[in-house]
Parts: sequence; structure tokens; C-alpha cells
Amino acid sequence: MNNKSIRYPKIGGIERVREDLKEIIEKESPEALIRIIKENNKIISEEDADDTHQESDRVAISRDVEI
Amino acid sequence: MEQVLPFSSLISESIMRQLSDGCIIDSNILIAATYDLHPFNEECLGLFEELAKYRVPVFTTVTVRTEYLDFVRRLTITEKLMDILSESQRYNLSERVRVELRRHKTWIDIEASKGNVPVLPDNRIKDCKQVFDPKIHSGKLGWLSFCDSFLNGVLLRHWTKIEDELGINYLKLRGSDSYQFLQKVINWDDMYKISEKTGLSSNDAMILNAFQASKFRAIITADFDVAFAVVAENADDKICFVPSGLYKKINKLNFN
Repeated sequence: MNNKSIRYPKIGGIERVREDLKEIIEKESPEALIRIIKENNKIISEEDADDTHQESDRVAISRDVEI
Repeated sequence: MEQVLPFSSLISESIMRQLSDGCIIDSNILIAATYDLHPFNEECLGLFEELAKYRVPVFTTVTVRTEYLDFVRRLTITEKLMDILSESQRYNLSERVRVELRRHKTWIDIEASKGNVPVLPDNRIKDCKQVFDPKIHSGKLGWLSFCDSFLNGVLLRHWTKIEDELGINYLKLRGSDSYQFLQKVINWDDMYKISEKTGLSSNDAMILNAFQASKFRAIITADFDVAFAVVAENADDKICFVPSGLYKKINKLNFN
């Protein structure tokens, strides 16, 4: 067979492949992702707080009406 | 020579010299060699070092590549889902997601305790995907963000590493230079026959069909079904190398 373009396994190659896979599965949580979740959560919490405020206004109004 | 031989017989200069043109490796050999918890891990690690020492070229098909990369995808998703479950507050996981992930963690723990490969199968990954919102919503982690953070670029990077370190060659099945490694034209009819003969899965039958049509003498596999089919095919010039545990199982069977 013509061996000109054939590639061969490298000594220690499988260990380096294993290290690469290990690195992939042990990858730390990206800080950017955690930050986005936190920021998004903060916005939602603030919106909830606004909603609660509006809700209590509505309750107060309805009470007024009832009164 | 027998048609199925244990890896231990590969650690012999005379056998290795017979494989100097190359051999075909199955996806489960790549999986076993790269994943610590695989039952054939140690044997497959030693195998690659021997192939490197004797400069035996390793050939695969696109099916092998697809199957291996699918394992890496499932492994990465499994590991990262379990990581985010353990850090559920940080990711602000909903109760629904936590319950679903805990269900799969139980399965993983059971599989690991049995000595099986504790990696989620696709149907379980689909179950997980369905309980996440697609995007970060109400401050909770979404599936697309999960994939973007942990899977994006992983498959290309890892396969490039494999090709480089293990010197993976592709068995070209079509085109003008395919004759270099093939002794006959590959066709679908042969693949159907291989599958039908032993009830072999289509993916494995495609790998075996390529092997039968190739000029290579040996296929290296950790799959009982593939080894079984090689013996059943009974081709004079073809041999199959398997881990010693598998060799004992195959060797017990009477094909005569």
C-alpha cells in the first residue's frame, strides 16, 4: 500500500486524549453564565417586587371600594 | 490462526508485523480507552501504546467517528447535569428540574454500582431537556445556555485531538483513491446480509461491511456482537482482536 499519506498513532497519544476528555468534563461553570443567571434573577425579583406593590395597591383600592 | 484473538496476542512482534498495513478500530475501543470507568479501560490503553510502538496505522469509518462523538456528547451532558444538580442554588434550578435530575442521578448511581458505564442514554437526556426552559428564564438556567456553556466547541476540539494523537485515518469508501484500501466495492446488499445473519445492529453491520471489503486483516473491537459476527462470517483472511474478558465469552461458543 502507498504509505505516503498515512498517519500513525503517537507514543503517549492516548494519555493526552484522555486528559483532553477529562478537561472537558471537569470544566468549571463559566462565571459569565452564573452572572447572567444572577442578573436575570435580580431583574425578575425587582419585577416581582413591583408586581407585589401594584397588587397591594389594587387590594387597597378594592378595600376602599368595599368600604 | 483463530478468527478471534485476545489483546494479549497483539503484544507480539510477529502479530504486529502482520498488521503493518493497518487495522480497523471500532468506536467502543476509543470509548474504552478514553473513559476511566469503562470495564476494558486498562486493556485498551495498553493496546494504543502497542499500536504506536509498532507503527500500526489505525483506520476508522464515519460510523465509528459518529458513535464515538455521540458518547462524548452524552458523557459531557451527563457530567455537567450532575454538576449543576449539586450546585442547584447557584444555577437557580426550578423544583421541576431538580426532581428530574435527581431521578437520573439515582439511575446513574445504580449503573455505576453495577460496574456499568454510568452515562445517560439519549432518551434520558431528552427527558432532561424537556424540563428546562430553552433560554434563561425567570433567572433560571435554560437548556440552550447549558449547551452553549458546556458543549459548544467540545466535539470539534476533541475529535481534532484524537485524529492528531491517535493518527486516525479514514477508510475512504468512495472516490478514486478508495482502491488503496479496498479489495472490493462496498455495497448496501452486503451490509443487509451481514445484519440479517446475526441480527447485528445497522451501525455495526456498516463497520463490519467496510472491514470485510477492506484489505485489512484485523478489526479491533470491544463489542461482543461484532466479534460474534466476524466468527459467523468466517472469512479466511480476517481476524478480530478483543479484550481478554470478551475473548473468553466468544471462545466458549461452538460455531461448528
